[in-house]
Amino acid sequence: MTTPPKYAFFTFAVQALYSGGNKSSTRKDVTPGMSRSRMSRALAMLRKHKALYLLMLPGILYYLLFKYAPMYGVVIAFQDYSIGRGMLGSPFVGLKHFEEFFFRTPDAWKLIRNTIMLNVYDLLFHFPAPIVLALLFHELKNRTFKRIVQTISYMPHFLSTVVIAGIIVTFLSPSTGVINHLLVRLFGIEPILFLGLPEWFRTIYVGSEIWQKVGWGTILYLAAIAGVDPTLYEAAKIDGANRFQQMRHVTFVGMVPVMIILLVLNLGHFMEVGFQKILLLYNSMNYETSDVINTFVYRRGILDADFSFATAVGLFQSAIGFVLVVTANRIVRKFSDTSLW
Amino acid sequence: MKKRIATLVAAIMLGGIVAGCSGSGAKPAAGDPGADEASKKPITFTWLVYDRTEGKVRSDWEIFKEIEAKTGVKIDFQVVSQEGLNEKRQIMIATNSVTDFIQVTAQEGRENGPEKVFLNLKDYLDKAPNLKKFYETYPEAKALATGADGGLYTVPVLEGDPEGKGFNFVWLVRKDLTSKLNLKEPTNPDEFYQYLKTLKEHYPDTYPFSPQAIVGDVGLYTVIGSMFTGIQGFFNLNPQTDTYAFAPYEKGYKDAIVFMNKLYAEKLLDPEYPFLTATQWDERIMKGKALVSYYWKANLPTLTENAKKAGAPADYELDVILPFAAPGIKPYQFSRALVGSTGRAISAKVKDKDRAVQFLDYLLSEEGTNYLSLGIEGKTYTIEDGKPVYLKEFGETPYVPLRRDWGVWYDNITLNNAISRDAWERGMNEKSKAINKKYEPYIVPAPKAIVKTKEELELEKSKLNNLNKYLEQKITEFVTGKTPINDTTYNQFIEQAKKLGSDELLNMYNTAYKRTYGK
Amino acid sequence: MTVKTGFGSKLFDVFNVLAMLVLIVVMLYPMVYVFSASISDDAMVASGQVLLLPKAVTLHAYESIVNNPDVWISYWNTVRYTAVHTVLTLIVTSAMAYPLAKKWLPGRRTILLLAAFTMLFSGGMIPTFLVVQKLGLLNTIWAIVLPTLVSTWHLFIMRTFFEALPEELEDAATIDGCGSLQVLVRIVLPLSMPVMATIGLYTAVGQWNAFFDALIYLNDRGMYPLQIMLRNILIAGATIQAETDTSQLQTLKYALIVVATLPILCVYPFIQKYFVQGAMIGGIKG
Repeated sequence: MTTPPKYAFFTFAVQALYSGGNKSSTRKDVTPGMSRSRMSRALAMLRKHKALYLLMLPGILYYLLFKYAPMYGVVIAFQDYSIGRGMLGSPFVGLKHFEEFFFRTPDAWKLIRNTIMLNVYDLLFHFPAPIVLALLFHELKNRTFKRIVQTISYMPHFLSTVVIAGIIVTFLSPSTGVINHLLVRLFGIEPILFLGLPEWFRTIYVGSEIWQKVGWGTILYLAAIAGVDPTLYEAAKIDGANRFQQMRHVTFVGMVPVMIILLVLNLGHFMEVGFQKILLLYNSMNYETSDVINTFVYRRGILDADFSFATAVGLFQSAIGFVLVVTANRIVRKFSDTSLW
Repeated sequence: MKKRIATLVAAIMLGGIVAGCSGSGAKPAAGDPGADEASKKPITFTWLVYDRTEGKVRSDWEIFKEIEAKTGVKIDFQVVSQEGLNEKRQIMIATNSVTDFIQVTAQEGRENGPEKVFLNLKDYLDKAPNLKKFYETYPEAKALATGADGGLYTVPVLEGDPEGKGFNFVWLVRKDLTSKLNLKEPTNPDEFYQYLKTLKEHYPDTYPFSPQAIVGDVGLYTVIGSMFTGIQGFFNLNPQTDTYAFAPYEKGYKDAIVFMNKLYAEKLLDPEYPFLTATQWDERIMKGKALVSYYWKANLPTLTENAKKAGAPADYELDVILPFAAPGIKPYQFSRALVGSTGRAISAKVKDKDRAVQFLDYLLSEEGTNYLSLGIEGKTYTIEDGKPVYLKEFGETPYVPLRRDWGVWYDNITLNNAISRDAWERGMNEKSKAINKKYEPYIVPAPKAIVKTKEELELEKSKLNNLNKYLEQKITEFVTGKTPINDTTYNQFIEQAKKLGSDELLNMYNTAYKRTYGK
Repeated sequence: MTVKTGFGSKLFDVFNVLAMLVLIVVMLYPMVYVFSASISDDAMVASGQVLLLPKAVTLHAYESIVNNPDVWISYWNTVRYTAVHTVLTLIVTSAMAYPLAKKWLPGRRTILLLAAFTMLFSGGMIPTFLVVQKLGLLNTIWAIVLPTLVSTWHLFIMRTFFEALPEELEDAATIDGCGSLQVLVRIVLPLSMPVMATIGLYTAVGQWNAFFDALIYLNDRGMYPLQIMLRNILIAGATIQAETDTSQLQTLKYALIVVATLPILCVYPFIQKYFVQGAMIGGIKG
């Protein structure tokens, strides 16, 4: 299954605000005779808009078949699942795996803390990066140059995690790495053992995330910017706004709805951090800050194909994420027109 | 989430593939190749296998043509890529749709055999003389193959020779540089320290000692720990006492840590060792930034060759020095395990059970084994002094043409790697043979694999991983000087290890070991 | 009447261009490295001597890839799977997103909630496999296309876009006698080319790089997509067994990356124009 793109296209949320179209339609078919029972009202609705429901049918069928039918698989989080015995044959153990994770793992809280901290750093630094870059792109005057820079900025996105991690390790090496060479030559300081110092890990991790993904992330925001009504710029100029003020009050404001949606969606993964890159970058010297929930589960699974444990932990992460999304959505709904549902 | 579980499981496969080197060939059970002449009707069996880098699976390999001629069995290979082989196998087991012949871990065989996924070979032993002899000759294999219900579900692949001579790892040094300095081989840690110090004085830009890993077979902590305590790794068998031990409990372990700390502080040990990647390590050896290490014996020629291609001086030479240990400790290295942790199983749903078992029996016979492990006499190997040797023209790495063109010594197909390794080593150049000879007195037969009960597995699952991580982290702190080494800190270290379950694990290993081999 | 560009503005431009130049260097370097490594001799790569430019150029790795007929078959398979998957995904997703954009539609919130739920919770590899197996889809193209047909992220995106379209347009069409389907096809979709192109691109890239589903659902070698074939050639993972042919491993690794990624990188600049131009269409009112 493909990983959902983090920066999806929400131009259209923008257009909703700027093209001034009415978003909340008051098209309610109020049929006379309010004494109708709910059931028959529902049926009437169905009949009236059957075309619409029919359109949704293939999609709904997909969800039922491929998402909800297999959903029973989460039950293995509460079992001692063995693939030979299957779900019906494996013994039920209740919350045993959750207990093991929370109470018998010595560093459970440290793992959770590291996971959360990485996500906090990610939100603080990675999240705004494409926004800033998109603004900068937008302000470039030469169109060809702009195209070239944009295309190049998308390239790291296509490199695999393994290659990126290899490059990072090479760059940060105290003896052979470029970064340290520069530090020693230009600033005359001792080479820093970046990958050996726990305090550097978060910076390295988020920094490499930004490097890899910022370019691709601007696509969405650029579309949002392009969707901004040009007359708004005119109006601003007439009001005497200089370039920077225009950026702030027109361009940036146009990106806000997109940011909101992305923020809410990102919160769904707040308890998870992509473990592949961490696996390649962590080591016995920086476990303190680098070991996260997913790397722990991965190591634990090496001894035996322990589906149950992994599923149980994953369930915990998803549950937290879901609660965050629902809460965030509710808050967002109070303050803006844009929300998930 | 799927991906996570999947990748998580993929690691097992990497761990499960046992590599090894040579040893005198294990003689397969000699017996009639095929039992009944009557059942030679053509039949096809499916067989799961993955493509190897040396060459992909072919349907026209000659050995299988000959096998088909002799037994009437045609093999239909179902090929997957190595990455994802695990998941594929898991799914097959979960849906009970495994191929007729499939390679699984012994653990998988034991767990799922009783669930009617794999055929219980015990029921067919009377009709399969070679199979019967196999289990009798190798009680370790029998133990590994026995499920909770007493049935036999896998035929474990043989990895090492029964005499326990084949081994994998060596100390390697830059012979060209050490001979220039007239350095004598160290025989104890102090001499080793001097050895490294001298190298550093003459080559100040290098980190004389650079290990490729911190734990595991070639790990720093493993090899230095063993030097001071005689225990290879954290939990392992003590060959002198035939019981399991936990290295940090042993007397010399603290000295090992002090020693490593000294090396680190004086820059004799690579300061990047905790996060050195395999690629970086290769670079260091080839470019001469590292001069001494401990690694797979088989990679020596490749490293040397690559180094020369990359511009190393013409006299660049990697050679070995003998293992050494602290006074009072006997230096040794475990040989390759006799029996591997994976084995061949037959699907319980195979159409013609008798025929399938017969075929397996044939493959275990001398003729069958020779086909899979050696090839065809005259075309891939010859007999010299009564022992098989691969054709000289195959060179130092015969497994390349063997796998590519002949399907011989192919992982997931062959049942006996030991014979192949043996033939390989017999054909090696003088230098490699000399290395083997040199190390011979130090090789000790590997500990036999343990079969654990469900509760024991649970214990291991829930504690070992955390304990290992703690040990790695703490020892690194000691070695890099982050935490000073003194009685207080060391005692704390041991206390914490106990809290994490080192005692329970140790007891468990000893109990399981005794039980498996009926001591 | 334009505001005169002040000094601050000019300074900003200069800074911007400089920043972009730095960006180019930083982003371009890994690609150049990968490419150089893919045509350099293995020993050079392994010993770290390839930093920017290739050393001891050899096309050996590419030769072995190109001469492998399996690679071409799998290329074709990937193209096939990608095309079918993308087209179907766009159809089904837009068909589902359009009604969900109508805020008055009963049951809308429930459906959206249920869809969002599946983003975080899933049954896992084995139950999904069982469903595919029971439907008889194993070893067919449908096993590749159907299990990931609708991505909930994309669904939300499309829906939001459809929400933004002015109602007057649709009303006008309805009055003229169009049914919902016709409104969708004739009015909404043509105006939504940007989002369709975008989601089409995301789906296509995702499918191009996918290999896990193919791995577990396909048995027939002739049906394998590119990613599996490439992994067959290369040993994945860092653990190398003792007896393995590692003589050209490093170079091969990089060559494979180039072979796998190049097509997408080439296609991308052409699609780029949709993302900028198309969005402006939305500004049209009524």
